[in-house]
Formats: sequence, structure tokens, C-alpha cells
Amino acid sequence: MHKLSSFGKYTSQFAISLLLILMLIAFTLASPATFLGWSIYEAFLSTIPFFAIPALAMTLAIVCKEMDMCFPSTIALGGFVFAWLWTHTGSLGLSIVVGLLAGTAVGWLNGFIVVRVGVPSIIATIGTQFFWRGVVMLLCAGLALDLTGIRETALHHVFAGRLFGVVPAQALWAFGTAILMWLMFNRHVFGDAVRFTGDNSETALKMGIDVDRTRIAVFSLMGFLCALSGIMVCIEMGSWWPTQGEGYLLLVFASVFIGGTSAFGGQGSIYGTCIGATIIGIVEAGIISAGLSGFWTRTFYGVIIVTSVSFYNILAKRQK
Amino acid sequence: MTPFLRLENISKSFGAVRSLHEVSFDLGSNEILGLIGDNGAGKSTLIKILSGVFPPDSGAFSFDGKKVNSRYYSCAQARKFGIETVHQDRSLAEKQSLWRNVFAGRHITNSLGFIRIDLEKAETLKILYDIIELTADGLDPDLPVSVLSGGERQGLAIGRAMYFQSRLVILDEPTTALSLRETEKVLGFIQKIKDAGKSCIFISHNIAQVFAVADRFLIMDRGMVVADILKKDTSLIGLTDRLLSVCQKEIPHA
Amino acid sequence: MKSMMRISFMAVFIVMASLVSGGLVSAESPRSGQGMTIWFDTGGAPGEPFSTIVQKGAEAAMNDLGCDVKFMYSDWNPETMLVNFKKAMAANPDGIVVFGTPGDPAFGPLVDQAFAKGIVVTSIDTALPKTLLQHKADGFGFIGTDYTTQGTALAEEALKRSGLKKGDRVFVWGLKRLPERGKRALAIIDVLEKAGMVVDYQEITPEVDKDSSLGTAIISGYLSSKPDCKMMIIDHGALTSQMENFLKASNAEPEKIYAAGFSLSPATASAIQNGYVDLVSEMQPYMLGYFSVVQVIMSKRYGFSGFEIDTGGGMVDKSNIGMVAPLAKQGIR
Repeated sequence: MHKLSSFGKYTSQFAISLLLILMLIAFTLASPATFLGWSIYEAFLSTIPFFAIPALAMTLAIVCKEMDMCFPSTIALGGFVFAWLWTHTGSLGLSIVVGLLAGTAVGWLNGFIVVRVGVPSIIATIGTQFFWRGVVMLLCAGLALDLTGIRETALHHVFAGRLFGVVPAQALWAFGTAILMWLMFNRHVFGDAVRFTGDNSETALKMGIDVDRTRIAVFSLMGFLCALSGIMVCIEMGSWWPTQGEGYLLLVFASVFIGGTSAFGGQGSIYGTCIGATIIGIVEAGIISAGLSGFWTRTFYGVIIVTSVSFYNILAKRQK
Repeated sequence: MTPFLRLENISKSFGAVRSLHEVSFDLGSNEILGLIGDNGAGKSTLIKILSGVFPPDSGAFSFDGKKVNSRYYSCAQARKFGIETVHQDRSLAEKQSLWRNVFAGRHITNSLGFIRIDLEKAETLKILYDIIELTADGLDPDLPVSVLSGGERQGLAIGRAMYFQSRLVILDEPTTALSLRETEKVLGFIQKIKDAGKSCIFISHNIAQVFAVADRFLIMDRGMVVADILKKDTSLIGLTDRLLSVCQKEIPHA
Repeated sequence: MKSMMRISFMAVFIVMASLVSGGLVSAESPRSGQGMTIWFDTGGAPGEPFSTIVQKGAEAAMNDLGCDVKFMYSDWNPETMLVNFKKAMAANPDGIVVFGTPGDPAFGPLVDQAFAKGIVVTSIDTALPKTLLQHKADGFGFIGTDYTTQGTALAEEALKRSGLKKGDRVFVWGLKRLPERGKRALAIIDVLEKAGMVVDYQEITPEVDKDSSLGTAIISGYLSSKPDCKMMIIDHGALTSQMENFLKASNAEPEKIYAAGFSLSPATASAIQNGYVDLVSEMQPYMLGYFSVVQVIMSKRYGFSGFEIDTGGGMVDKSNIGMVAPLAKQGIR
């Protein structure tokens, strides 16, 4: 009665991995020329990390029962600060550090508004999303920043180069971030605090967990990782645009929820988010290569999201 | 001999509502105190103050003779003093695993803050088997709390308190939603607290249950202590009568 | 008698032979794009007016040439365009058609990679001057118009036809912030200021760029605060098409304001017919789609260079809208 087999504990991870494998098989059968070659995987590995990294941070936020809608603007701001500093100082290291600080500060401010002032996170961050996007527009006067020459710098190779000539560096960064986040979420006291805060903040408080500090930390971490993503995009593309981050809003949430993290808080999966991001990242190329028109992309996203979330809910009910 | 816990003139109001008015009493170090009274008597407010949820407006309390500074007193502080509160339903986080619930807020960690999970899981099993004496085979500490029955959950919360050597376990209506058999279990746990040499404040509407396990009874009414009776000086019927007469009294005009 | 039979037999044989060989020849000559695949980035969101016309042009070329064209969508987001390009490259098509919106610094290296793999790339709508210089011989072309020329032409024509005098107020709604595309707005402002007009410039926000219905309040607000505005130049296709709605919502009198803009659509055609929009310059986006596919096929198959084709000649007003309107309905103009 009290026993849950190993399969039961990891059912959702098995399921989502299975879905990814099935999708890859289907796409390979439909267009072997594309999916049996390396280039498409290099394309995936060089683009998925950009929204996967914010998705990892978002996983923690949602487990903590917070919602961060501000992140696309945080990405843009972090990227802008980095790009502006680099074009004016030429120092990659300095620009990266200050860019990361800027993103973290934006995240911290979001946390402050939510925790100390008490505005519900979804509302507060919708507001700050507009605010920071506006700030970025004003600062850049609507113009993109040209970062030609960034590809010749030494640090470029570290952030957006190709290991052994083939593996994109950002994929390694994303992988490393995922490992760290997994350790933090599953093995560290901070991850524990996030879980309890999201499960039941009253209970968490009574257990002596500093709920306020935990929530602010989650927002700050989001800001940091978003800035990291924005900076990596700049280095990869050799350019910064005022629209940076705009396309990621739905991709990030889709990755998190497909991965099995519950919208009710208290439970989540870093592994799931990684797989979810990969699934979302391969859909469009897969169906276009297969010959379906790009109009199908959103339909596919929708089906995948609703199916996987329904699956998780049914699973959760069964386990009760 | 200094009492383990002493309350002196604790008062608390919420806006115009006076929740506690100059509550004073002592608690011994191996005493089970039954706290009874009608709804609105102030029992919840009192234990919230004791467990660090909020400070009193006036008055003070002390442990082992040392006065508590209410400005710095918090839930975490209360735990450090050895006070644990077990509620009907808010002591455990249902979705989280058993071992996390046991060690939340006081994990065994290494220097970087990483939890020693294997150790904690082993200790959790010990609590489940030794203290709560669960007999199911192959119990997995990774299971979420939601797989436990109501009585087992109370058991886990109490067992946790005992594991961490809490000196005072406050039980707030622990048996209200439970079946008879589960209730018996919980009363058994309370007896274990006494056997272990600790103190307990037991709040309940069920006089019979309170009478069965407590050594002393405190009756509260409208924010004040109106009776302080030792078990040996009364009977179940006597206590019940006393409580009824208190509840039916007129509100004294100020 | 025998020679008659011989001659007629020969005649029949010759006729039969020519018919058969004629049939064989026509059966043998394949269409130029047979067996080739092109990945085409339509620039905007699925279903959006401008991109849809481009797509229709490309589809027509696809049918005429017998090739396969796969369409991608980018919501006008430069980063998305680059990501789409990478994915297209990975599929190893014969050619890729792109909008030049992301600019030379970002696109350059990727286009280099594509040509190295033997993929022909060409650009439409927004130019990539440096890349064009580098790869024109390999097949990289530009179909579109020079934005400065287009903007200048429209502004000058609008001034000529409207009869505005020095010191009159003109509202310009544009996309100055985009690198190449912004030149059109700059050219318009330049012409107007040199002619001594008072120019009220408003940047089109990303939200309005994507969703024209959000522009109503901006136009209403502007016109009520500046009722002496005599001309409005809208540097945006979808917004031009909404001018009838905007002006109606602002209770403006269409005769009092000379409205000029870009691109055609059924809504724009109706606006012209009803007098709300007076002049439209269009890039003939159908041909952006059509020519680019043709060019890629030809360059890939026969090694022709890239071509620069200016499609910006179209000026449409009340006088020729009659012919154009039904085509606009079909998404051709």
C-alpha cells in the first residue's frame, strides 16, 4: 500500500523522454536526409540553450509558486548592457560581468516588489516586463547594436564557439547550468526551501524556512540566468536587437509545463524542463522538413502541451 | 524551582478585538497541560505567540527563567528553544517527501549546504519505525506525505518533534479529523511524549480525550484564564460541568 | 499510282514522325525547378497580409517551375530569422530566400556557410549590401526596392499632388529604428523637412507593428491634439490598410487629410476607393516571392549570378485602383 516502485517514482520522466524519442524517430523517418545528418543537431544545439536556460530558472520559480512574465525584457536588458559596454570599452569580461549584474538587479527588484510590497507575481512581472522593455527602447533609441568583431575576441570561443569544431559552446553552458540547477533543486537546502515555500508557505514558515528570502532569491536567480542567455545570444549572433527575448515567452513556459512541473507549486523537474525545451525546439524544423507547412507548428505545440499536462495530472491523481 | 515555561500577563488584540487579556500561568518540564475552552477563547492566539508566529502586545514569557525578547522571537527561534507545534493540517507539506518534511529547516548538510540525503532518509525510517511504530513493510522515505493517513501524519509530526528533542510539543486540535482508531494512536503518542520526559500543551474540544492524557487543565474563556485545575483534583464529569458553566456565563460589563 | 502511294506513305510517315518526335521532345523538356527544394522565410507571422502576398508569389513560381518551396515564419523578429536560417541550412536545400532584416554583421557568416555548402541564398525586401557584394557572383541577389528611393518618391509625389504649402503639418508614422528599413522613414522626413513642412514623427511600437488594431488610439489621440494636420504618411503596409478605420474612429474628414502609405491589400484598396487613402507606393511583394524563387533556381541550376531587381515602381491611387482592387482581393497585389 505504501510502496511506489522505481518506475512509479520516475514515470513522468520516462514518459517525456519516450515522447522525445518517438518524435525524433518520426521526424527521421519523414525526412532522413535532414535528421540523419549532423547539421540539424548543431542548429538545435546552438539555439535551444538560449531559451532553455531561462526555462531552468523558471522551473524553480514555478515550483516556488511564483510567475515571472518579466523575463523577456530581462534578457533584452542584460543583452543591451553587455552589448553597449562592449562597443564602448572593448572589454568582453567587464561587459559580461556588468550585464549579469544588471539582469540580477532587475530580478531582485521583481522579487522586492512581489515579496516586500506584496503584489502578486504575475501582475507585478507583467508590469515590469513593459517597464524594462520601454527602458531598453529609450536607452537604445530603437536601434540595434552592431557587435562586429566580437567573433574575433578570445572569450567568444568560450561562449559561442564550437568545441572540436562541432559542438556549440552554448549547449555546454546549458548542460552545465542544468546540472547545477538539478543539484541545487534536489540536493541543496535552497532547493528544499523553494519546494516548501511553493507547497505551503505557511507550513514552510513554521518550519523555520525564510520564505521571503527564498522568494527574492528565486527572482534574482531568474534575472541572472536571463542576462546570461541574452549575453550568449549577442555573442552568437554578433548583434543585439531591441526585440531580443520577445519570442521566448511561450517557449519557456511550454518547456517547463511539458517537462512535468506542476502549476500548483511544490513539485518540479529540472530534467523534465530540459527534455521539454528540446521537444519544443525540434518541432518546427521537424514538421517543415517532413513537408507539412509551417502553419502546423502552433497546432503541434498545442497538442503536445495539452497532452503532456493532462498526462501529468492523471498520473498525479492516480498516485494519490 | 524555576518552571520550564512561565507566562506573565500576556495580552494581544487584533484591532478592536481583544484576543488575550493578561494571561499568566506556569508549565512544568514534564507536564501535559490540557488547554480547553470554547471557540474564540484565545487558545490559537496563545499558541501562535508561543511558537513565534507573532509577538504579544504586552506581557512576557520565559523559558527556564530566561526572558524571551519578543522582537527577535520567530518560528525558527521557537524551534531552537525546543518548541514544536503540531497542527491539524499545516504541520507537513503534503506534496513533499517524508524525509524532507522531517528535516525541513534543519537539514544535515555539508559545508556547502548540500543535504546529506542518505543519512536523512535513514533517520526518517528510524522515526517511522521506532517512534511512530509503523508496521508496513518496505516504507520508502521518498514517498510524499499524502500517502500517510491522518493519524500517521500526526504521528510523523510528533515523532519529528521528539526526534529533535523538543522540550515542549504543542498539539492544536490534533484529533479533530481522525477516526477512532487513529485518535487512539495519537493519544498513545502523547503518552510517549510524557514518557520521554517532555512537556506538552494539548488543545482539544473533546474533553474526554484531554482528560485521558493530561495532568492539568487550563480553561480559557474570552481571552482569559478562568480555571487552572490539576487532574487529581477533579473528575471528567466535574471538569465538563466546570467548562459548561464557564461558557454559559454572562459577558462581564466593562 | 505506285509513286502516288509512295509519296502519300512518305508524307504520312513524316507527319507521324514529327508528331512523335515532337511529343517526345516536349515530354523530355523538364521544368526548370524540377527536383529542387527551396526554404523560404516569409518574414512575418502566418496569415499576415504582406507575408501572405509574398508567399503567394513564391507559390506561383513554385508551380510554374516545378520545384518545392518550404515556408518559414519569423514574426519580423531578426533572431527568429537567423534561427530559421540555421535550421534551413541543416536540411541542405538547393536554395534559401531571406529577408535582410537582421543585417550584414549577423547574417554574413551564416550566408558564407550556406554558400560553402553549395546552397544558393538570395535576399528580398531589405538589402544586405556587404553580403551582396561578396556573393553576387555566387548567386546572391536582392529583390526589393531601395528604401531611400521609395521613401523619397512617395513623399515627393504626395507633396506634389496634395498641394501643401510651407509650414503645413505632416504626421509621419515610421520604423526609423530598423537598420535598412528605417531609411524609408528617414527619406520621407528628409523630403518633408526640406520642403519646409512641420513634421510630427511617431515611431511604430513593436506591439502596433505586430497588431495594427492597436493603432486606433494613437491616430485618434494625435488628430484630436493636432487638428491642423494636413497630411499623414504611414511607413507601414498593415497600418496603411487600416487608415480607413483609424480615420473613421477619429471622426476625421477624409478630404481634409491627404493620406499616403505603402503596400496594397483588400482593405487598402477599399480605403483608396472610399477616399481615405490617397496614394500608395507598393513594392509589389508578389514579385518579391516570384522573382526570388526564379532567381535561386536559375543560379543553382545554371550558375547565373544574383540579380538586383527593383520592384518599387508601383504607385496606386484612385485613378488606377479599379484595375488593381480585384487583384488585391486575391492576394496578388
